[in-house]
Amino acid sequence: MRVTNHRFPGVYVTEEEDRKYLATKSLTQDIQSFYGERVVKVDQDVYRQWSPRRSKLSAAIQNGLRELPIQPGSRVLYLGAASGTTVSHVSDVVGETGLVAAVEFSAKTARGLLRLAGLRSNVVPIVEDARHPSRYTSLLTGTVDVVYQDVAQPDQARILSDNLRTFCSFGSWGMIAIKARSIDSASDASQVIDREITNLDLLGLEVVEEVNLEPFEKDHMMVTVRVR
Amino acid sequence: MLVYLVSTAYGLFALDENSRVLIEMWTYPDIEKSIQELSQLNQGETTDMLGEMVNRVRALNPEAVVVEQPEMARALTNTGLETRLETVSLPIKWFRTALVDQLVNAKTAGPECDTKRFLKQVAVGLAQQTITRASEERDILTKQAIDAIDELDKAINIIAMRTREWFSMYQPALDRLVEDNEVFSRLVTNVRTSENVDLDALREMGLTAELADAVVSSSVSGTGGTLSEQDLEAIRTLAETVENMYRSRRRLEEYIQTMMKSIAPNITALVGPVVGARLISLAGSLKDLAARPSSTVQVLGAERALFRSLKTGTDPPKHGVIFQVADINAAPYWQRGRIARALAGKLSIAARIDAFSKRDMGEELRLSFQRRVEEIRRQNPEAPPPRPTKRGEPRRTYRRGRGFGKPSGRGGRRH
Repeated sequence: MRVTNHRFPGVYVTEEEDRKYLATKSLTQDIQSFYGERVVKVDQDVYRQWSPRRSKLSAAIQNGLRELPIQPGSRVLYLGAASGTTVSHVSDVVGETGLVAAVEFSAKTARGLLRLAGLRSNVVPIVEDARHPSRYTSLLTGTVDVVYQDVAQPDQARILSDNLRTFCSFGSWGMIAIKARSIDSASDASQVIDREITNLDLLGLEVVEEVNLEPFEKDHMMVTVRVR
Repeated sequence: MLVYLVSTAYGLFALDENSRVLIEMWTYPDIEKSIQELSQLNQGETTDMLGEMVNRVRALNPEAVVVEQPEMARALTNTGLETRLETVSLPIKWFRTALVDQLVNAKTAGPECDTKRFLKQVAVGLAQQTITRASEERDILTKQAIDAIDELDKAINIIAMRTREWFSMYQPALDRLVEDNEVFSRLVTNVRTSENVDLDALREMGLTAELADAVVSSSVSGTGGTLSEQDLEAIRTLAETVENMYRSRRRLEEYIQTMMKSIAPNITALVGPVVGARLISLAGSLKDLAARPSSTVQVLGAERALFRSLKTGTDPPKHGVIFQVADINAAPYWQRGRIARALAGKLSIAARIDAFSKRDMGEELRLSFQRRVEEIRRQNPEAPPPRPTKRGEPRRTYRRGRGFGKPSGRGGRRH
């Protein structure tokens, strides 16, 4: 078992028998896994494998994402946190000096998120509707560097831009996992995604890069944007 | 001048247009108090703190008060202050993102992690409150019960089939004779050996005289093997399981019935508790069901057919789970689409009343739906001619007009 640094700070690659896996260094140094991921201990550090099948952000990195705005020290607003699978890795990456404010609307799935918040000091759980950022402005003071959006909804792009407008200023980043099927289930996926990217542009966001998430997710595109 | 009101986890602040603090009212470092303030404000309620803030703002005699949250604007409606809602207001945003943390740190003169921890504990407290409230939602409890019934049905089917097959080693005729799984299982648990099968016992188990006769005669002349008491005991174990599952199913149905009567009386009056619960389960919750357009309600539960039609252009489904309502499944096929549409419309109305007002209009809705069904029957007594099957030809559409068919004695529901 070898661990090397990935070119993104805070992301690692573990190698065993010529197979490589993405991983993050566990913030809690706990050898317990959080959602069933593999945990490996190398020297004094604990690494958690980050499967591209379980997490769209990992899939994007695997598929050659050029820039990752989420870095050690980043303050991230994470929309659509679900039970906290990807959030746990984002929390590893940003570390003690960073912050992840994780928004999830469904109370049922947010239970896992609450458990994660109990384990990690840098995760702030918010059980609210990401469509209405004003409902959680009181819980998120200070700057936000990145808004990560994985809410599969027809008005995905608008939800991202509303949150960027509420919490961020010029130069902040947004990442959005566009799911063609939840925007329009009938027409051609690549057209739907193109239309949504045009939408982002119309909403005043600069589209920086696009990464297709095949074969890990069907008809998904991870798009990175910046506030102009 | 304008006064800007900001609610944060640390307290309430009034600012001028340069984000300078005019009035500060702290909840920090009292976690409990902060949680309470925020949860009340989030529901648009006025709190004592807000009341006091309003009085102090009034003394400044502002031209208007600017807030970011619609809920806060609602709480300020009867205060006599002119309120403006700006979803993103620059002075407030500047305060939220840059100033408030400095302010709090200056107040505590402590390390930054202290304020960070405070904010987090408030967030966790609020999240817990929301989650607790959600797990007490009665419609979600009903959803669990109806989902459990559907799973029980699947399990009953599997195990009853096994019981039948197994018991056929002993008395093959019974499988054909008794169709009802529950009766079959009851027979199996009660049959000791072929000698003790007597007519009266069978009648008590709910068999018709005819059936009982048939069972007795078949048990005398069977092609089945002779099984020992031990073998039969094993089969009985399984049969008892089936009986138990039927009992559980009935109990759950009763539970759903009482729950549905209290949470959704209007839906229940229209389609009965079980179909109503299924609709709520498919939509996610009663409020979700109320938020759906009736065209969606009409096909809830027929998602596969719906998406197939969207993708490949086949005919869209006429009905989802509402097909289980007798008015639809007992109607002739060419009337079903119209009846389903009418029922879905009434269901949407019922769901909205149940979710938001609690009036009891069930009877009225039911009656007007029945009237519409009568009308549909009158107007479409005959099956339409078969559609041209050649592809590419335009579909025939049937104009909905006033038919002049006399209401006939036929065409009613058969019981």
